[in-house]
Amino acid sequence: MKKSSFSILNVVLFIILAFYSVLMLFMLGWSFISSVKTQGDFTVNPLSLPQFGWHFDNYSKAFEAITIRLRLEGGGFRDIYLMEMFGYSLLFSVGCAFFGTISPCVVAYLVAKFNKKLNHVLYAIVIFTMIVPIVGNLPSMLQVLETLQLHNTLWGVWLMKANFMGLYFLVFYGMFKSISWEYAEAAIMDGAGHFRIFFNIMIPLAKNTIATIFILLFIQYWNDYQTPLIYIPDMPTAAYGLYTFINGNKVNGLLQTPPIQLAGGMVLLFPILVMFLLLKDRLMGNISVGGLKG
Amino acid sequence: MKSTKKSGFATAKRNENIFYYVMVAIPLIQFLIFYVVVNFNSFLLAFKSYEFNVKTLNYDESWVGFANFKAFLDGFFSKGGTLVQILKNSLIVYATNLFIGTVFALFFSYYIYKKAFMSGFYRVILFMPSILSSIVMVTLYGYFVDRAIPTLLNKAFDAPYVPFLDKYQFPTILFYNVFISFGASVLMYTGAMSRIPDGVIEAGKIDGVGPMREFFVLVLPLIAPTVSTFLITGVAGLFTNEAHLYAFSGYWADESIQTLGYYLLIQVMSENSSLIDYPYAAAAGLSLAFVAAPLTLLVRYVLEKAIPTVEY
Repeated sequence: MKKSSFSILNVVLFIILAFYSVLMLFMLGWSFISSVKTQGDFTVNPLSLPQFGWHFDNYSKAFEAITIRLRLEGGGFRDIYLMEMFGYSLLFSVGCAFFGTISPCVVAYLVAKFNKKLNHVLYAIVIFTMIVPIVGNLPSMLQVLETLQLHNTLWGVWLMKANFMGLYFLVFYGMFKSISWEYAEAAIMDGAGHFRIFFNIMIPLAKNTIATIFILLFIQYWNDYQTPLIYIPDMPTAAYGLYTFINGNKVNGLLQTPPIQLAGGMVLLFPILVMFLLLKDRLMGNISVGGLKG
Repeated sequence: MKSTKKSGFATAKRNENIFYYVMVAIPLIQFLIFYVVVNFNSFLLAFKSYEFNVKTLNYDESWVGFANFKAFLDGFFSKGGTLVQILKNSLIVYATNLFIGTVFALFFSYYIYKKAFMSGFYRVILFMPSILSSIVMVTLYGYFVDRAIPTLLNKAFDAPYVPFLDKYQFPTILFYNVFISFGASVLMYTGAMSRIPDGVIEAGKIDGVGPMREFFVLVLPLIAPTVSTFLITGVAGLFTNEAHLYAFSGYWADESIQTLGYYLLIQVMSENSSLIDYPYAAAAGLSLAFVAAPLTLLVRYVLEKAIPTVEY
């Protein structure tokens, strides 16, 4: 595609996008500056640079203040601090992203490359679950997990997220369809079995898409505060901790000042922002999806 | 020789079957438990009731027929039913995302696809909110529109100091929902646009097609399948979108700004929620699914009729 020439449409879109970008960057920059102010400075000079010094100690205060108190079964309490929450975030996000990537990848490969009657059923399941929404099965999900004794366990939440349905199935399906079966035929001639073909040929060929979807899911789960809040309440992740920290303040009055709350937000935001800036080309370049046929 | 060939073929077929069924087993079991069983149980739950028994310290279960459905539907049809306002809010959120969010997303995608000035930078900025934590973004946005923007407007234009989220809560939240919505859609639309053959665009240029006509006459019809995928899967959002209200307000958002998705969520995610609340929430979800499912199929049917299949 050649670069476009000047047009009124492009000028109008440029202006709207410039306004959007300024608003977004101003919001992030303003939040960072505000996070290192004193409460008085924040109230009196909301738009200026810090007038009473850069208070990076707000970050250590936020680090200490983001805690969740768990009630222990035998009585008593245990406080969970941010470092432990980061550990839970990592376990939760890596596990959910891994199972959430591998499951649609495997099923899409089977449907795209093998001629089986079950393929029609699997493809129909994907399309059906995408276009026929089931609303409000959260209570039932909780009940089923409790019955299976998987509630409040990492395995439970990993398994719950290991479904093959959804948009990523279509992404993998399209990608495997576009990979020639000749690679597999050559491997079969050399005596390779289907497991070797899948793990040693197809997975390496699909590694870019797999990595992109894994990273997208990892970020999604890293930021997800609702799933841990509902399904693993005794393993609070950092996002869950921040939610409680922010909304606890709304309920109990301002226990923490806005600059400390913003510092708490920045603590969670920085790692993902850095990760995004390092991997932005991968994250924004390897996914495509077409229509819903079937 | 023939039998060796035949047995070789049978072995290959058997190996293929072993691989296929071993690999598909776990995803299928996962589907059976976490989709079929969960939704079947949700169906049963909608007809039950639980009461806490202080003697046994356990919940007593009973079948109550359609009582939970009636309680939910009363919210719409009885006098002063609170759910009417909640439905209206859901429709407003849906329409805003559809008519403003989708339209802007398509135009922005076109700008990026044409590799216009600074399009690479805009692509990053548009995608950024979708990877940042919603609870962080909501916190930042809340203070930004309540402190920074009113001060800025006050200083620059002498406008009265109005904290937006405090004073105009619902429109400010609507704006937020559109503001952060471009990541996935722009990514998918630009992906679809990049697959349009250059020859089609070049032929249009030779015929004197300008950018506006190129967008509406060439690009939009060619990426229609991708757009329709988003539109079809988005219908459910009418019933499930909680519009980030839980991040903005926890479980105490004012009834006047609640959406159906949020309403369903807080039935089981409030401070005092327990098993007693589950059957009503299940009946509410099931009732909405009865509307959402045919509506989605109808949208799909209409879009399939309206949008011609394109192959390129």
